[in-house]
Amino acid sequence: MNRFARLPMALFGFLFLTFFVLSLHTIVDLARITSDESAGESAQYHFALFLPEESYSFFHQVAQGARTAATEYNCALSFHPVGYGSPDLAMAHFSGIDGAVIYPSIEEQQVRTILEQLSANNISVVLVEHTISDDAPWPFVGTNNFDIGRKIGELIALQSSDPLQIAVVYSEKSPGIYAEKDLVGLGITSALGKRLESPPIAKMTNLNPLDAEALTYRMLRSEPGITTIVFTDARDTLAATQVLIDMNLVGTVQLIGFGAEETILDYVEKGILAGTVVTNPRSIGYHAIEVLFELKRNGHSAGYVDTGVTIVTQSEVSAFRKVEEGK
Amino acid sequence: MKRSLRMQLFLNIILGLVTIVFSMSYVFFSAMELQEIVDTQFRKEQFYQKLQLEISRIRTPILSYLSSRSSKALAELLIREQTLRQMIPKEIPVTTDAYQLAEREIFFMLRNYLDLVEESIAFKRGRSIGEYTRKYEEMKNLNAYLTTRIDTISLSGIRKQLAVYESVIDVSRELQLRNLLMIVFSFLFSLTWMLFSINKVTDPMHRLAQMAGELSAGNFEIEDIHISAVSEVEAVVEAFNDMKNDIRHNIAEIQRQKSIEQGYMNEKLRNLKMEQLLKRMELYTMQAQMNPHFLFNTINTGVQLAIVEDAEKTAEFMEHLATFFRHNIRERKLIVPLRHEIEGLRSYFYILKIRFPKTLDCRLDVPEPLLDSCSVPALILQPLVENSVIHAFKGVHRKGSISVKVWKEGKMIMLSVRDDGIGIAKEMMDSLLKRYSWDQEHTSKVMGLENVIQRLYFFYPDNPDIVTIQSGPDRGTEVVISIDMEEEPCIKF
Repeated sequence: MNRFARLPMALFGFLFLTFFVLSLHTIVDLARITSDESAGESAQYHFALFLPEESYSFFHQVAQGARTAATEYNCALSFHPVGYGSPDLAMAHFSGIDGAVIYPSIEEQQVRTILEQLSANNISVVLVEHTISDDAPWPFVGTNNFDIGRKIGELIALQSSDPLQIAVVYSEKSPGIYAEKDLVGLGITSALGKRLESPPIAKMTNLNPLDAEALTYRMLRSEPGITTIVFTDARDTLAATQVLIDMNLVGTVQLIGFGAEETILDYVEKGILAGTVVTNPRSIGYHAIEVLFELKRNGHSAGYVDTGVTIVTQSEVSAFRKVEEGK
Repeated sequence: MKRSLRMQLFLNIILGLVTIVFSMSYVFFSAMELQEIVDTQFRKEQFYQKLQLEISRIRTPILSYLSSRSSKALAELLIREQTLRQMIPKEIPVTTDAYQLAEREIFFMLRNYLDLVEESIAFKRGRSIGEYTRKYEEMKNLNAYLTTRIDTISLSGIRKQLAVYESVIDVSRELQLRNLLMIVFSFLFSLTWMLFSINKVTDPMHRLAQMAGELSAGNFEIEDIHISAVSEVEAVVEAFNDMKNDIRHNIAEIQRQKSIEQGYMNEKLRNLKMEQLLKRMELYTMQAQMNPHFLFNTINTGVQLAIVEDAEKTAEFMEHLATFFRHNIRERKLIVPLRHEIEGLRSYFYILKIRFPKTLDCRLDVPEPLLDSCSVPALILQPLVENSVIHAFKGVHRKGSISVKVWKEGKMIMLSVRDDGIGIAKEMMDSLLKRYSWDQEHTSKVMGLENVIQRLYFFYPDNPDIVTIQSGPDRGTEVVISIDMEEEPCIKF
């Protein structure tokens, strides 16, 4: 009798304990789900990244590089929009941050005021892809736009014969280059010299990603003398390349693209684009944080960090991809 | 103490109830925990709502004080400012989490905002109109921005919570189901535990009742009950086992003693039969010693031969000799008429006269009426006479005399054999008159005095004076046999 009575007793006892343990486990699960899972680790400094809200790969890569550096240097990183209508940058000096990486896509005077407020609040600042006139020592991390122009010119020299008539399409989407479009033009001129039939024509696209498509149509139809079109924005490059294909002008008009999107690299590989300009935004973001960290830790840092520019041609696409994959 | 019935029942009931109470308490605790978890989830949003409300409330007293310098507005402003300052955590750590960083920025902005408030108050008191006007502008912008950021972070928190809402609901349902099953199994466990405990106590009693039934039916061979139960029941079980075993042991002992007694009785009966058989055999043996049939027939032949040769005296001698042997040899009866005994004795006397005509005088005095009215054991007189012939006259050179006399005294018949020989020593007489049991060895001489005495003792065990001897040195010896005529001799086995 006892033996038969023990069996259900042991079974029920076991099930009771099992469901008790499961219930405890569920409560822990529930607490874990509802708790702040992303509760981060403590960090040394709080840096803020002020970038335009546009979802361009350039800014994404800048942010990515900044994240990598923040992780390496154990710094917290908050992201804020910058641009017209956003008060974040204006209020930055109240926010308790230790440093700010700013892509100054607003009026220079407004930027200067904000930078002074930040400085007054002992907040370190690094500017990326922009040069505010040099009377204030704001550290700068980015590419030298003259170098960009020179390398573009060298590529054109390799691809096209004389006489050359070049159109450079600047964009509001790449305000850093647009702000220094003169330097870009000088670079191109210095590389091509007398081979230019006329100075490079500057064109402009707005924030609309399809604006470049219309612009390219107009140029190809109304300005048949243009032998080479240079783009300074990745979205503009993609839109314009499709127009070139549609108008069956591949090879007739040389296109120099901008950016390292996979589609752009494909175009380069197929010979539709003569090459693409890669400014390495990830490195810009990384070095920006690095400079901020050194400023906070040592009180000084390099005032200027050139992250370089790369021209990728048809023969260099494979090698470029391998390098990028390795990063 | 721990194994006592009371303690076990107490502990088992307590354990069962504790299990149920524990499970119910746990379910209550888990419900509270669940409520706390959900509450925690929204507590932050409640905090931000309150923070936002307080930030919006401080605008009015700021403007009111800066425009009117009203002490009432200042008091309210200071209260609001203190309320807001108390809502700022003392420690605002830097973490890598975006949400916490946003919180950190809000708290820093709020702290700066409140600093601006204090500065503007100071400027107002100092009548620095341009300064507090500028500060007010900054405060207004910052206040608006703070409200927006709080909205943003609150919305972010709600979105975050909404993202896990479904998971929370699922896990909550799972938790409730598991709690329900835990209560059910806790109840079942407690129930089976109590049943087990009750059974643990009652099972031995049930088995004891069964054993009692078996014992009452007379079956004491059942196995002992071995139960590890409570101490009281164990004591009862042990006592019951002991009682059963003692009863079984006593019954076995009684049967063994009965068996021994039966064996002893059988042995005794067998011994008695053997004893009787031994007596019978001894009697037969004594009588068989006188059974030389060949001699008897030969003597008869001699008698006939003496008659044929006209040797009358020889014939007479041989006839007496034949008579003597007839009485001594052919008689198989144990008790014979006195006549029969006397006739044999007369023939023996005749032979003695022929043998010892000058040295021995034999006389016989027996009243004729007693010869046929009395019976005596066979062969009791002749051995006595023969004993006197052999032993009474050793070393005597005169003529000896042996007389046999029979007379009656009341119901007693007296038989006397007397000689005038050398007598018997006292020690010898005592030895002769000693009764021997049949299992004792003794130096009985066939047909001798001792043999006659012991046979008389055998036939008349209740008469201690059946034989008396009177003797002395050189005074002769008289052996007297006193037989009660009414007493039956012990000859039946």
